[in-house]
Amino acid sequence: MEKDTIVQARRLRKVYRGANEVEALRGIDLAVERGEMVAIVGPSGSGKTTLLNCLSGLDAFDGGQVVVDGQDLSTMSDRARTAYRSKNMGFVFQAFNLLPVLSAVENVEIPLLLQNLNSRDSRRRSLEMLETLGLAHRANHRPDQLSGGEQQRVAVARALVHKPAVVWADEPTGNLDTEVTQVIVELLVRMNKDGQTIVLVTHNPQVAERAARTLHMRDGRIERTDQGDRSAAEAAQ
Amino acid sequence: MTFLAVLLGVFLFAYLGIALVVARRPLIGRIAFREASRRPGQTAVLVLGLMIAGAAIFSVQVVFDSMYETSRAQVLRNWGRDDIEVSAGGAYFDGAVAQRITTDPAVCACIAGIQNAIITSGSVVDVTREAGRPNVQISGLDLAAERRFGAFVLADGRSTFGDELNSGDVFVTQPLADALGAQRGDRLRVASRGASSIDLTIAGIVRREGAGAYGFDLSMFASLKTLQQVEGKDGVNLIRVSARGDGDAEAAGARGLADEIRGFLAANHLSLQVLEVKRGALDIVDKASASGRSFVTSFGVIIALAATALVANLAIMLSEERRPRLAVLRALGLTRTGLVQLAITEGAIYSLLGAIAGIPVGFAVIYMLFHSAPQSPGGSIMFAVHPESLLGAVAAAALLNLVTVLLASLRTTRMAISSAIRDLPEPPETRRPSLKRSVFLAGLGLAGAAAMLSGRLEYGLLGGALIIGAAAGFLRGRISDHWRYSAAGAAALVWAVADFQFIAAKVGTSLPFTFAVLVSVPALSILVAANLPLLDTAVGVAGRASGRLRATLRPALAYASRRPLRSGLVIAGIAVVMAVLTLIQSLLAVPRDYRVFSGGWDVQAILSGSDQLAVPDSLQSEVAEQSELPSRTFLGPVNWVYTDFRGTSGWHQEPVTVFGLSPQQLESGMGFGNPADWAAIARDPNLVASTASVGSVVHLATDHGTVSFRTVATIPPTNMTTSLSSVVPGLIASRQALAELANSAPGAMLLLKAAPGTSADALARDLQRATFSLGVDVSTTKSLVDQDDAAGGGAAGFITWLLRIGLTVGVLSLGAVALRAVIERRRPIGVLRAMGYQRVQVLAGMLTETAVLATAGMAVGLAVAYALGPTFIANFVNRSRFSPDLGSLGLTIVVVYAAVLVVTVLPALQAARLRPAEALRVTG
Repeated sequence: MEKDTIVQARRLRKVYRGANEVEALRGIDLAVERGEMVAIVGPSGSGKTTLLNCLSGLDAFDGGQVVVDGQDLSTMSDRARTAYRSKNMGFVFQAFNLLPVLSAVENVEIPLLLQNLNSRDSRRRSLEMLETLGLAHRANHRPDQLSGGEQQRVAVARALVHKPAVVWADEPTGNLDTEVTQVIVELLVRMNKDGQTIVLVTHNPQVAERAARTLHMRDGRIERTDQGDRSAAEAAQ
Repeated sequence: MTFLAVLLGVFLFAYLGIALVVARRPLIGRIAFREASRRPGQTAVLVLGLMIAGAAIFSVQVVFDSMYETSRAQVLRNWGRDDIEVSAGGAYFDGAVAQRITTDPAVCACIAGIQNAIITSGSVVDVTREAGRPNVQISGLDLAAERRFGAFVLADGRSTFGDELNSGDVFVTQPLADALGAQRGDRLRVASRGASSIDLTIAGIVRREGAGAYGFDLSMFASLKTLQQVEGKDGVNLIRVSARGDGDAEAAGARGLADEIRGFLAANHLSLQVLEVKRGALDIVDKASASGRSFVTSFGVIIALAATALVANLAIMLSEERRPRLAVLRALGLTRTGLVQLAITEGAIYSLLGAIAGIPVGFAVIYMLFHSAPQSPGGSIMFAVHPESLLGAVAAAALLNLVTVLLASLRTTRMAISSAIRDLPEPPETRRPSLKRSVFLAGLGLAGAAAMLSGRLEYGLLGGALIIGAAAGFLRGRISDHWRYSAAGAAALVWAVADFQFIAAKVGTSLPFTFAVLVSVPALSILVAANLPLLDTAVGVAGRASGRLRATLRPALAYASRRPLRSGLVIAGIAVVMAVLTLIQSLLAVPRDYRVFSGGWDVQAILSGSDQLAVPDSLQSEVAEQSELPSRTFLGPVNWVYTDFRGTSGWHQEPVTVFGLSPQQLESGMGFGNPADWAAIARDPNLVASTASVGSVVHLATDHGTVSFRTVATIPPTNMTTSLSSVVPGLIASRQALAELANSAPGAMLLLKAAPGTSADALARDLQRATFSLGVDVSTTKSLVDQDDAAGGGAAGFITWLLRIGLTVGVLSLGAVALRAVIERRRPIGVLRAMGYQRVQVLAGMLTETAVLATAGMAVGLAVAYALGPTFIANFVNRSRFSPDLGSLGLTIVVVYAAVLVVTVLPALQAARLRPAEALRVTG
């Protein structure tokens, strides 16, 4: 089968400059296939989050190239990269990062509104997404009225609602207990089975096991790659 | 115990308490100090915010210290070495009394100087210049005794004790010379209560200093003998006495000396009054300063309260930024009380620094105001600062800030530790009713009920507001916050406006107005803040056309609209100042309803020395209606007992003019008051109409005993500062009342209405020309009202400036909101940027948020001003209608928006420049 690479990084370098210069990424080469679920694991300070930020265009890098769905992020202006993110990327964070003053459905609507979809359609699609995730009855609740698991499910809904090319998840279960972690992981796997490309950073081996591929990082390099329980091809089926 | 002592006591108690906590728990002190010194920039911002209260309070005190010292200096200059005056209420007595006093062994040792005098008033005409003036004080002095009382300083700078004043010569003061255009050598025709006028010669023009500072600005001085000729009397009507010593010793000596003189007079069966004139005048200054200080301090307090909104926002900002760190401390075992102590200790450092920093700022503001502001309180004001003002301002500002920090910390230290450590949202509140909270709310309600039942109408307004607040507290968790805030805000607003409407006229002080502003502004602010989500709906409608617009505005509006308490604080901070500013501007701007102040009269003519004044036959055709009011001007011991905040003036020397109306005039009324009032005045010669509040009494110590006049009808004052009317410069009584002042200086006033086709100006001009030879002063009533308006403009202008400073505070609080947003919302901004928010959308969102709050603040302020304004204007200022200067208000609004842009744009740009990965990396 021909490979359909959606994320491609070549000799990616990132240096944090300050009192002590730290080379966080030391020439990373990486490719993610469309529909693949990739987990990045490694000890603290190994560069996992930095890699995710550079791949997703959240952070600038000092060397190398990142191409996402055919677009070279290194040549894009901040404005173009931002616009690209709004259309093609979704994010899930460890701390949920819902806007505290907006209700669940209003949080989910943001990516759609940013694409200039009108209010009515945005609301309809957001409610559908929340229903898919079993949160329709919590649509009008604000984050401080939701449990941690519910908040993270809303965050997942927000990441998926505009059908992005890639969903980036940074420790999506880091703040959740085992039971809720399981729910969120199953949710991500289900979305991945529906064809959604997902790149996630995790410390949790049980989460990483559910990915098609696991990249082990140490000292800014990918130390080794493990094939997980599910291959991309399986996921795509 | 004085208020200052209490304030300083509370201040010391609070800071000693904090010091004790630090001594017992050094960790708290160490963390507080480290937090304060860790980020000097942030500390500077906090101190900047906290110094506003200090600057506001201190600047007001400096103004009054300066005015107080200026007034005292003026009193001391006017009275010079004249401590005691002995008189017979204007009547003449034997000049040998002075000699007998000085030879009495019980008295003489304390006397440094004693001088026989005749003090009267009259009209003066400069025959050479063909100009005249009424109400000129004419002092005839025994110049042989002048040395103790000081020298006259001539216009060319030479000093003289008046030795060169021959019979028929006079010195005139510089203001009188200016008014007449007079020069040395001019012939003056003087008409006082003597049978006929007499010609005198100006021997010199004297400055208003030394002996020439005595009496009115328009004064003339002659030898006693000359005045005896003018008056046609042999005796004197006054003895001036100077006590031994200087300064405080002289003042203390005067007190004992007055008693000894009274003893001498009683022992010799002489019915003369002894008045400590200088002390009486200084007492008046003290009392006027105290009441004026409390009035303008209330404006300073309004600014300080606006500043507390800023301080509260800063405190909340600080604690939210530190939430994870504080949660770690809680996890390590620090109790919530410990966190509060930590916040207070750190707040105490900022509060003290802020209060001290406010002193030079307040000083600089007032210094600039005195020297550069239009209509400043006067260039001749002495700049003075009392140490107690400085201490009081520091203590008050520090305590105000400290209390604000305490209240804010009570709120911000409530946290779920596990969530806060990870900087996650707080879990839903259980909202279990706490006993402590219930007891507090019950106490609040009971305090409100007690205030309402206290019988003091003005406190009922506050009492009702407390009850509403307690009820809203009890409803927490039972109804939605939206409805709770809305209902409480609406109820408090309606209560404040209705109560003010009802009691304003019954309470003679400005206290109900202050309470009404302080209740209605927060009430409407909370109501508006709770309903700002309506804006979301409006944006939702717009969102049908443009999702991107909705995406841009929604988070910003949500931050503004879904945190009613915080938004309410900002809105209230701006609104309270905007409301008062609008009311003050309405005072300045209301086109005068001249009819209210003039009683419908167009022209006023005043004459002294004679009570006969009539319109010449040649001018009768220009007059539609005329009223002649003979008068007596009493100059002697006077004591006012006001029914309003001024209280009792104490015995002092003051000219009081009483106009006597004929029965016909009383029957037809004077254009002021109502027929019932005039009927009462006609029946009782001791009832009068005056500018004092109804029920006020003035006591005059005349030669035949004390004569008292009670005010039953109010004449609207034309001068806001003095509360006097230039159109009716005295009391209006019946003609019989004049009989009780037979020995006082006669005078007369003519009030005229111009005939159709004749302008008031033309009538005044023609009448002035026809009567100048009598020393009549003719003015249109409009010009009198306008002159008083201009004179009162200085004080109002100062308050306006003060309030504009307050508005700056409100705007600064928006800057704090923006700054807070950058710190507090780093992560949400990072998320938004990650999801595709462009920088310009972040910028636009933040500017929109502050613009919405500024708009809401100004709208609330205007609404409150329009709700309370008509009652305020009608009851406290005697104006007919409330009509703010829309041009000036418009300018204020434009300036506020511009200032909002200036203070917001930098934090907003900072927020827009945040890189998403960096913003998301921050963990608090």
